[in-house]
Amino acid sequence: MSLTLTDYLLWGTAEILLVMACAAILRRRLVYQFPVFFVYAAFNVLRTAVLFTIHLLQLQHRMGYADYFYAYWMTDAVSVVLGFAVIYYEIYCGVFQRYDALQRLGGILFACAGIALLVLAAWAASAPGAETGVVGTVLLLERSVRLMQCGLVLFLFLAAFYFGLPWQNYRFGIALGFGVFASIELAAVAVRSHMGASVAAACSQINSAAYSSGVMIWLCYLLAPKPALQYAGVVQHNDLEKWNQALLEILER
Amino acid sequence: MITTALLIAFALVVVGVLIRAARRRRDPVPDLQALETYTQPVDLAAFRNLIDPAEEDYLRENLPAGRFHTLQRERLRATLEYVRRTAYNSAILLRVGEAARRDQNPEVAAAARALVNDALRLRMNAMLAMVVLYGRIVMPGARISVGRVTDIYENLTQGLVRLTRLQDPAYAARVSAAV
Repeated sequence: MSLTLTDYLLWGTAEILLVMACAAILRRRLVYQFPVFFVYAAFNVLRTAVLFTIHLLQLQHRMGYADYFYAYWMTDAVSVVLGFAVIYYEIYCGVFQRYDALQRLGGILFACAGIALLVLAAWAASAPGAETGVVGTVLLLERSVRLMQCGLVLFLFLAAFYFGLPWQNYRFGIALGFGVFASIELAAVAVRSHMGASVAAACSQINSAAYSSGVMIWLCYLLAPKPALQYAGVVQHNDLEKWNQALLEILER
Repeated sequence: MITTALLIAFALVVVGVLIRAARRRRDPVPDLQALETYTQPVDLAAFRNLIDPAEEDYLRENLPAGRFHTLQRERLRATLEYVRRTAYNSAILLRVGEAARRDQNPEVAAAARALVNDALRLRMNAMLAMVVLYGRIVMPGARISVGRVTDIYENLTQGLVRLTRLQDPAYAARVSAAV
């Protein structure tokens, strides 16, 4: 497996950004608030380090491509499971389960959305791709998984929008970053699955760039200062009194 | 090919929704003192009259079927407008309640929590009521209740008045008139 400079740059950028995101979580003491997200981010930092080590060993012919292939997809499976855990625990529970009125209905709606997306994912997986064998199966699975993740994030955003639920800043950043990279990866893996190995390198770079964008969004939200509550509306009476006072003083001069 | 195109289109829709959500996020919390500039007026008595089954029965018995269906469709459209307004107002009040939930005073925080829960209940009921109303506009003769939207809206407005009394008593009456 040969990689270009762009591949290494994208790989490195995502890793550095993710390390910074983990550091920001620790520094802002958000681990207890977002434990699943922290585990997800830390796992991916570790995963990239392990995969990069295997890649280096592979270049020295001390490991084969199959080792990298299986390490990649096995850790990807864990990452996907953690990704679903982030969607459920950090986004759904954090936004919807805070309200007594939504606990039951929210659960039902989330389950319905999950089942509907599972059916949709099964339908998407039934459409044959350009590749067969293990790679073809893995790509179809990846496509279905991304479809489900995107669908769940979309559902959560639309439901929160309909009910007018406020998003805590960090949580919104997590959901936004997750949604952005899952949707771009869905498009990339759909193209890869349809067009075959000829676009593999380009799709891989798009995936890496999408992932870096998602991590960048997390980092921006994690580092941004907490926004103050904004009130819209009329001028306060105290202000009017101050203005009147100021005008009187001017008139008296 | 179709599957790939659909998946790409879906991904684009998700990105579009996320960008829109990020832009719309910073909607400010409406100020209680200017609540009437945000909310839409709801005549609760007229709304109750429109969904009163006795009123409907009276019209059904005293009007020819064709005339009744025409009139009933108009009444249902008016009801739909009231449901829309209550749902709209509940979204505003939810933001007011959500901001007050962080108040240091536990009494204010509890009143705000109750307001938020009522607002959410209303949004859910309004969603179901709208589905029922659209169905009834197609079949004006059908007897399906639109649920408890009016009762929940009344609870919601009472909750708002309770919260305002705790936060800013001078505005309680004005706030009550705003919704």
